Amino acid sequence: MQQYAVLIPELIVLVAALVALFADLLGGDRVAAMVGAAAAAMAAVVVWLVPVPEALFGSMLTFTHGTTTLMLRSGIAGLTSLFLLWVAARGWAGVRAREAVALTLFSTVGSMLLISASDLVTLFLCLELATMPAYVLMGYSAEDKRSLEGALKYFLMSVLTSLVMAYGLSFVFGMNQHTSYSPLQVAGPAWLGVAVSVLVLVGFLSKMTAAPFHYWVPDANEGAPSASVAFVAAISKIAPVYAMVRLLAEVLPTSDGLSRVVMICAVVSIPLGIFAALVQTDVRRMVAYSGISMAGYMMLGVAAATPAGYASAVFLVAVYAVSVLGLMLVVAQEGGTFADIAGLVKRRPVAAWSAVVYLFSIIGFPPMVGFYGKLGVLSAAYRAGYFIPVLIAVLMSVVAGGYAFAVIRAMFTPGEGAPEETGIPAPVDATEYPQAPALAGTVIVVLAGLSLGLGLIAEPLISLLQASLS
Amino acid sequence: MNILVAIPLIPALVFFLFFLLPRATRTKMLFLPIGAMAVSLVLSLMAFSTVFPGAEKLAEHGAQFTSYTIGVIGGVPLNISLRLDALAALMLLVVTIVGMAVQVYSLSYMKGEERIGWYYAVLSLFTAAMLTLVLAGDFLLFYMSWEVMGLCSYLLIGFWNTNDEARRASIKAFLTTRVGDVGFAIGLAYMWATVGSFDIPTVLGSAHTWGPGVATAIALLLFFGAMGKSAQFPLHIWLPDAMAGPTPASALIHAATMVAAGVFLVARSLPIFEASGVALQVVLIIGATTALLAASMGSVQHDIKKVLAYSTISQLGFMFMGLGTGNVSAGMFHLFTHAFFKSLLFLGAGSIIHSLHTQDMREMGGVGKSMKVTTVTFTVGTLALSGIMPFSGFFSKDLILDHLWREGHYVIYSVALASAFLTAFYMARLWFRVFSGTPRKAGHAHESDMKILSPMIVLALLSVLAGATTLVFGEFLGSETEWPSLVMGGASTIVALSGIGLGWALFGNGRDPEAVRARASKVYMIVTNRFFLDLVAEQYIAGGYNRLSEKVNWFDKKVINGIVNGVGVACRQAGTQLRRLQAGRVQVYQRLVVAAVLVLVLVAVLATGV
Amino acid sequence: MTVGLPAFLLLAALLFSLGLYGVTSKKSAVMVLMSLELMANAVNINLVAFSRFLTPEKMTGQVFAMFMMVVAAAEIGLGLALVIALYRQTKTVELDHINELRG
Repeated sequence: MQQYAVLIPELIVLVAALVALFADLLGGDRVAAMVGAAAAAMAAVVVWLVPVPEALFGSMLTFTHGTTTLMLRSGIAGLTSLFLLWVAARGWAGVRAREAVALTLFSTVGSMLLISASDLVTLFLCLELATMPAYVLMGYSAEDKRSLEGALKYFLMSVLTSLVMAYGLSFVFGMNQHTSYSPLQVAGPAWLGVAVSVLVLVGFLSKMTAAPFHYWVPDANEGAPSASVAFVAAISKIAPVYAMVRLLAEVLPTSDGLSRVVMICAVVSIPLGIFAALVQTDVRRMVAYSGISMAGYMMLGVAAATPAGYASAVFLVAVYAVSVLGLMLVVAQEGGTFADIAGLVKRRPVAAWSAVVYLFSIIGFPPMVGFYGKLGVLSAAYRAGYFIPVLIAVLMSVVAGGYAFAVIRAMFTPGEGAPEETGIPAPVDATEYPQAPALAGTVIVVLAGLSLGLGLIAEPLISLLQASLS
Repeated sequence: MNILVAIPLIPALVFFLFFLLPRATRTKMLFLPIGAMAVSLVLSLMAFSTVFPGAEKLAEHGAQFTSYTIGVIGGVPLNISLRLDALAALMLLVVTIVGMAVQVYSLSYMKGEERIGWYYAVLSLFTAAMLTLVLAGDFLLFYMSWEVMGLCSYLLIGFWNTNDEARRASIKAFLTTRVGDVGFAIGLAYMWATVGSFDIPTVLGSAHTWGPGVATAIALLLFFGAMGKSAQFPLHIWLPDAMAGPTPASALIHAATMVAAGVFLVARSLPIFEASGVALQVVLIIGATTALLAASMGSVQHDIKKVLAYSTISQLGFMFMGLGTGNVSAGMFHLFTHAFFKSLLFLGAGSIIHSLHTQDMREMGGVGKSMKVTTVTFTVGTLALSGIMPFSGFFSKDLILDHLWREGHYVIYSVALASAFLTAFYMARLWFRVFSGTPRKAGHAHESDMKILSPMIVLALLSVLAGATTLVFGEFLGSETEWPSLVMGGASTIVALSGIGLGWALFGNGRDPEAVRARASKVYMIVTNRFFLDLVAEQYIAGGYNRLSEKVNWFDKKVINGIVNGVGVACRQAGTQLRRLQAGRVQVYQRLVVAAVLVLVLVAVLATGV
Repeated sequence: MTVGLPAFLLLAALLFSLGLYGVTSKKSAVMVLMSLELMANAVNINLVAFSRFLTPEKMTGQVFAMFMMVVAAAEIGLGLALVIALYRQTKTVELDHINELRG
């Protein structure tokens, strides 16, 4: 019985999700968000306290990668906690927040379980459990047809790729004749195994928003409430990347063909995301494209297929989530278009300067933590002999400065409108929700601090990840 | 604590302190950055005295360094270290002296600015970065401080951030120098791959074993970085625009120190360039091209700061020519003297702008009568830049010309001589337009206060005296320097004097070509103009020359600017095209996804082999 | 005549392709959802067929298929809810008309 203690963190979050669903009885949105934040924070801590067995449920869940597993589960819960703390302060873009809080927590449970999934069935279930609430969150403004349109596109694209993946998984099952993780047994020509593996990868590539499976991202981001984007574009990306790493390392065959496919997606994603981000005038769309390019960087590390590459890819997605979460929270409270954030530095200097830290971290400017993540994947890919892709990635990361500067410029340029003359901030999502700017500001500063501070301990963190992955 | 660490650390601490303080408090505490600067200056003098004057003392005390391990790459420790040698000691003096002068000057010049505290904070950060750069014992620390300087330059150019021109100029400067930095960064990566170390003595010591191909590649990549930072053709376009920043900041960053960092980089890594050979030729050619083009463009500017900006580009070209001969002193001595007289000229220009509230020379005139101290010091700077004996510029420029001649680069030599002629000409043009004649549109000038004048007086003294160190300088750096020979010195003096003469003929006594043309019909013209060949000069020489210069200018604006901007436009264009792919219809997306899946499966299968 | 594993795999592949065709070309969002359901069922046929022919003594594939059905049902339900919500706002279920967001 004692081995089930390892799931206590997930259980805590799950209970909090159920409580949030019945928040009407307790007092409303803020209570729901506070309960969720507290539960997620508790889960983040408890992860480290409970004993960890090798496997659970007949190896449907395994915890083989010790430190990595713990760090990621704790990290996901911790970021969710910060996010919900912000929700408690600011609400959810003018709509009832309590169901959204519950959905966020359900998705978090899915993500946390996905980290330890080591069976095709649990893999698929957890992936869907993590994603399905996200569809609803993206379409959460049910009165806003743009939000619904974005959500429908997200839904259709994501289900399509999930089914392609499921089709691939059915063949993996057929070849291995069981569903637990073990190297693929290909009876027949090698290309069969590779073709099946590509089908499986498609699902992950779509979830981590890599090109050419990215089409839904910009549309969904622009339409959705910014708070939803903050969660979906940041936190819910972490687990799929790690799950893909595990699948590649433990199940799918190592072959030139497969690494070439990953590399092609990387080399397409990076320039596509960065070029398209340059011409955006809406931060939410820009974040979508920068996420596409970031998926490319992660795949460089994945394609290297070394512990160092895997560790840096996982590290990069986690620290990217920190910075994007912060940036999107700033956007969620100030508005997404460049016109909305014009002159932000005068109105909300703390938010504006934090946004500068996030943006620098996203484009990988030292000493922000994003720099170390990118450095890690690039050096891993270089060591694996991918010279040209690394060169492209380095050149493109210079161009990436362009979109960051566009946003910074917008924030530091006084706007056309009157807000800074009257001195009254004009929150875009003005609702009757009782605002708590100090709490929201604290969350934003904490995230900025993480974007900077994690950079100082990036080196040991990556080595820890690398040690537990090899 | 080691004195070397303290030199850059003190200004850096001031920056962090100011960063945290509220604006009102900062404004009251301006003595802090100036005090920090003074401490750095004293410490730099102490450091300098430990290695001066010669080789023995250097061997004994020099190369003392402090090293820290900041990380491990593939099992090899990554160190950053500070190291003091002759080159570093020399640069320490330049940076702290000019930095001190500029900080005192700014007290008055920037008085009443709302964000003066921020200005001083960035100035301190810049000083810290530049001092770290000159002391860096490895290329990694060098590169890190190089980037921080770029950031400071961006912040200072865009200091008046409500001004759209300033904001655009700051972004342009940042992005253009970043283009160079890409080369630098790739060069460093290549270096790491070749040597497995960033430690400067280790790298330079092994340079001759790399083989010419690798050495050339690394040298050119490093030089590309230097071209961006030191505004060499065709990456020079950011510097004239950078004049939108405060004038004292331009004096420090865009005249004396940061733009010289590229020269310093090449001087530091000269053994790599020598191992390559080809790279030295490239440095020579780029330097010569830049010197001539920038000098000719400087001759048609009307904005006093832009003239000085082009002049800086041109003089940096001279320094690269000096290094291109393979002689460290030839380039570095000019860097040394230029730092003093060019920052003096910028500060002088600032004093005039401060008084007249215009930068347009066509609106100035007769300043000489009302601003005595400014006039005298500015004249010293002008003569030093023009290369007139006994001002320092004469000695340093002559050293370059002398080496070019002796190494047999006759074509480059004549280009350099032509540039020297143009230099004297545009400075004379500037001087006569501003100081002689009668006050024009901008009205009467009044002399600035002592906070502005005293740094200028100090720099003027240094501009005169620096030339006397010619022999000591060479000995200190360990490469021969000599007094100018009679023939070489005579040739360059004649060239400089004729440049000034042409300037006087065209612009002396408040004349300018337009006025000359207006008077052309009068009897006066028959006597005076014919006698002085004014008309001929104006109609044919100056006219043709002006047209040519304007052509060059046009080429610069449209083509070079166009190409560099074009890269940015192309990136945006690519983005716009990519947007079209995102047509909004979900089923189009789905078809694209299905097609992508099929293609990827096919690629994977073919790569595996059927 | 016995029907072997390849026949089932072929049937699944056909169903899957039909589904793909429907998803990418049907005008009505409801029909697209139906086509997705076809693809899900193709996966189920694969799973059950593999299980029946390769490991008849275990029920792994059948259990996997059960989970797939649950997930697919949940997903289609969710999709329908989205389509209905969108229909309330735009009075159309034609995907071609839902293209306000682009660029």
